Amino acid sequence: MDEKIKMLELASCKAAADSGFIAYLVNKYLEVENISEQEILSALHCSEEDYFKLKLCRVPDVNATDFVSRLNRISEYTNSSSVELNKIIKRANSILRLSGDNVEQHNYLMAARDKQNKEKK
Amino acid sequence: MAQATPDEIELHKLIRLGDDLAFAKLCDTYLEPTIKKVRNFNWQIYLSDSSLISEVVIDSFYGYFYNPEKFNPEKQTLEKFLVMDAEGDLKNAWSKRAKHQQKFKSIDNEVEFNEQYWNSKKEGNVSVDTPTQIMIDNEAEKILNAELEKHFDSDKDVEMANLILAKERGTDAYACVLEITHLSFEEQQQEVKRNKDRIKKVLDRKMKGKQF
Repeated sequence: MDEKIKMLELASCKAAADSGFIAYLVNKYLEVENISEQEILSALHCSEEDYFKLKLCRVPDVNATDFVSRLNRISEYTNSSSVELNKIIKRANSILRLSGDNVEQHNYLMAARDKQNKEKK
Repeated sequence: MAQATPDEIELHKLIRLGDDLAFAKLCDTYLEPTIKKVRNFNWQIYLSDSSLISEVVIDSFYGYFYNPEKFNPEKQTLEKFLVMDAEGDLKNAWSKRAKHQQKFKSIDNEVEFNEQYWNSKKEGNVSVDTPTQIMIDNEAEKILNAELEKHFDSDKDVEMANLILAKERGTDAYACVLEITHLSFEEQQQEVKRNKDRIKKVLDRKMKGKQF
């Protein structure tokens, strides 16, 4: 592997810890869809170098009015399919939202149980 | 001092604005050259740990990305800033590691867990393998060997002299150098003693008082 690609890969690994980076969403998507990086790479129709550069981009806000133009800008810069990128971002976002809901639901149940315990006492 | 180039100022602006492509562009343009430069300036560290420099440079890139005010485009170029920032972080990481190793070695020297399952105290000097120390040791070794080669004809004698100067006491080490491990232990001891006495005489005569 080219040294530059290796370095970009290393940098993108660290980006995966920050939910603001596309690397984070891609990892979530890989995990949920249970697919390999090679599969996602061929779906995006981009080179390995572009794939790591894509992971180093910030996630555009799905609800923002300029989402489509930002998405197109990223896909143009990374020579990747905007359709596939859109799918990845939206799917991973909805998974995160759902898991967020689960946390909220869990907290709500915990609070209800605490209240019930207090009342019993 | 050189100011940042228009391209660097443009990238810096994107980073400050939190642009979607800013960090990818920063890494695409500067990551590889910065790692290579820091490597060239710190090859001793690179030889000791090949991944440390890449890790530190990447961390310093994130440091700049999350805190872009660290860089002043009016004072220096972005390229220079990234190298200097990473080098500062590398020095900190390296000295932290050296301190950790020193601590570890001192613990290691204080207590030795032996095969009979009891702890015994062991004497020993604490040495830290800092790049400077490694360089000094290598140089000293070269000078010492050059001096020994002046007084001894064979490589075996030079090796024996090195062992004597290193205060090696085990017969095995000398027997290996003399290639007499096939002999009985008593014969080995006699042969080792004879050779050691011969070499010590030369060392006393030719090298007394010299320091390396």
